Amino acid sequence: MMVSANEIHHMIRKACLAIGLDYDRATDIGAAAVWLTRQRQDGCGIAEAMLATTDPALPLNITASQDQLMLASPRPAVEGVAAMDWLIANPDDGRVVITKGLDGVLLMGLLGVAAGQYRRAFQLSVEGTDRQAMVTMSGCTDWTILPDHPDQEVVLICLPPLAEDGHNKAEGQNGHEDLVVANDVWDRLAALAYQTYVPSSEQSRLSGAGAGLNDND
Amino acid sequence: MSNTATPTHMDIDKAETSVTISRRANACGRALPELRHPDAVMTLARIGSFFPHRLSFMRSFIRRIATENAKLTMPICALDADGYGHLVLTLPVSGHAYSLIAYSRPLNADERTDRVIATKWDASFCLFDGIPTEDDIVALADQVTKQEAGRYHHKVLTLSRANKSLRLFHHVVESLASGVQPDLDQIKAIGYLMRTTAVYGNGKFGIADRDRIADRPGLEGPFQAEMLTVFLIREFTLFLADYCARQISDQTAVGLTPSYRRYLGIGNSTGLGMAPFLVNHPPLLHSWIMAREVAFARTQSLAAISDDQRRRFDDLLDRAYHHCHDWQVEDQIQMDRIIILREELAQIKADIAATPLSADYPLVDAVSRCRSCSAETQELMVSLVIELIPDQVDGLVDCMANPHNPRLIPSMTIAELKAILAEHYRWVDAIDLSGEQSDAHFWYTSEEKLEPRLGRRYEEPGQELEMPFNIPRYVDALKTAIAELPDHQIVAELLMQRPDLRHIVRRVQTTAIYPYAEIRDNLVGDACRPIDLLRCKLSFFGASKFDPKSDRWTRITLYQGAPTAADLEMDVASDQAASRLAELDDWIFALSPTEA
Repeated sequence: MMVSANEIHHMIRKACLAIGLDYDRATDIGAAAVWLTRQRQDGCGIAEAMLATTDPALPLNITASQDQLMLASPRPAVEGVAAMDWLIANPDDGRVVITKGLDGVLLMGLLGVAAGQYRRAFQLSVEGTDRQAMVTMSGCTDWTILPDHPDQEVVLICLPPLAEDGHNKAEGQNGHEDLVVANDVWDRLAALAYQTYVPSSEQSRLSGAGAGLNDND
Repeated sequence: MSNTATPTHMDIDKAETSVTISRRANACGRALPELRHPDAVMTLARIGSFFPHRLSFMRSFIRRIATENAKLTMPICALDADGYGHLVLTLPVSGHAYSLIAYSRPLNADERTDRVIATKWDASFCLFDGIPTEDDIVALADQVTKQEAGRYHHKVLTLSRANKSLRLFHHVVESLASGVQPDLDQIKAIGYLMRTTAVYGNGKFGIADRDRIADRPGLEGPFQAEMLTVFLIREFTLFLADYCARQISDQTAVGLTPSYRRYLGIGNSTGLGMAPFLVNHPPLLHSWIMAREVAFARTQSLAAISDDQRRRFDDLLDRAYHHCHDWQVEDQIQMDRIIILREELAQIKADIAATPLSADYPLVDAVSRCRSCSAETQELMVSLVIELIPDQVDGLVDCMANPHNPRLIPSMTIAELKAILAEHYRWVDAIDLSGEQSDAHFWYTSEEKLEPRLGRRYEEPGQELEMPFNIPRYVDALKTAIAELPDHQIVAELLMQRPDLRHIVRRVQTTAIYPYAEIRDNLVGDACRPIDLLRCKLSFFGASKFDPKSDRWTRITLYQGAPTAADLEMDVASDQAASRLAELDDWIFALSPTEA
């Protein structure tokens, strides 16, 4: 089905809240899902998959050392966001090392949004290989960068914005394209979002707009 | 990681923001004067006393189409003898055509309700991007008449519906059909032929996202597509009344007289649905308030005003006085406020008649005469004095859109965060958070129609699903969490220990950049009156004569007194164009017409 960016943002945000993510992260993931969808990625499906595997109640699992954060099997919405914040605070020499697997596309979505907000670029590289990908506000240079083997480390660093970023958007990435979401994914997200709604009380109904007046006056 | 003498992100952000504001202010004509402090402006009681003003979105919209000499056309009219069917009204705005597709349908009395739960209406509308084809109209008919239950595409910019004021609509049609104008008292008592119950924009139900049109000339400002929609709905209602009268008796029917047409606006019932918007869009709220405060401050920096401006001041004060005498509501709290407002305006008029405004800084003098008056009178005076300096104010309209979202500044030190809390969140210290009265309410999204609602925390279920509006408590928790932390620690490190604080940290940091972004009051306290939030937002829309029906919803009238499309089309000689535009723009404190 075709949906608007605003619908994706709100739907994902509510679904995130439903599983217990805090409001700020829910908002950021909503924005990431929109950004991914505009990049022709399955932003809603990726977010839904993350929601199915994320337990927000578990404590943050990050090991910090001088100029470096180590993340093992990070949850993008939890450790991923924390590491991204830390990296943005330490753009010159900060380095995030991710081991034991990564739900990387959602993290790329978060990075893409952050790249626009902070006018930065992010570089992902796979240790032991020459593979690198740049995430900017305009997109990602290699969506297949994620390693096949979970024991391979991924290193994330923050860079100044690319000179051409924002000026080299591929056709269809200007925010005006139609956004498409699979019906079944949308339905499952809607079911999650529904869990954030509260049944209206009688008192609420009696005090809502238009209550108590003759509508045929 | 340590922060040394190099500028922090906070410093940079502050500098960028300062420059941005300064550039914008300069672009709009002037550097920033001294502004009222956010502590004084951003309380519920204060923003709940705002009046419409010349920066209000309906005012700026009318100014634009008047300046552009926009001509309304009706490319399609397919109504039957009873006024049912569809029609299209098209208006060019800054060179781009927009069309209201209106579907008029019969509606049984037992199906007519203004509640958001309604599923049928007298009329349903969408604002179409361009001029629709017959195929477009047919394809949209099934969707638009179902409103929220339909699905839309990006050619649809807004969605709305309206019900007739049966009493007035039938009276107007019958009167016109018999060749006479309707009864003025009925026109004054109701003030509209139809009332809308919602106007949806920004991507709802698949319609165009705001960012699709945000850069388009004419629609860059906040809610301009929605203001255009309501303007066209008003034209539709005026046309429909004339049309139905002619269908009854083409031989005897007369058209509604221009002064009545101009007085009739569009009614609206507005409830809690729009209240969270102000809390959820802090940078945007800041930009609205900032523009108004800059406009007000510019009036206060005027060393002198001309004789024409003095006469204009007297005329507007007199008009405001009569406007407030026309303003009658059933709500006792608001009526008491109106009575005080009338008395205070009468006193100010008498004061000025006895002692004219001073020669030096006369508008400071005008405002000082309200110093001991109610917030309603003070804020009415703000709207009034802003009218006197259009050349120094109108450019501020361009500063009222704000595309920025709040963003975390993770490099900020704890010392900097503490400084922001001390500067911008002192108001939290004055709130007693120990008792149930401090968080008696909670905001939530209702299962029924997915609308925002307000519940009683200790009496109703659902508080675990509340919207994050308990700002004082979050700030208190943040203060406690950082009280003992070293000053040099940075926010990113704090949030690794306390990720639950990320939302409030971001909010607090946003307020440092945008000081009018935060309503400095308790939105979940027992004393919170949501109607104050509604009035603030509606005043920026340009709505007048707020008619609260409880502390949670209000009726208003949109475009009352505003020029109609026919008014805009009058051609004048070029040497009279400026005065003609000023006349078209002069509809603040609208007065009821005299007998036709």
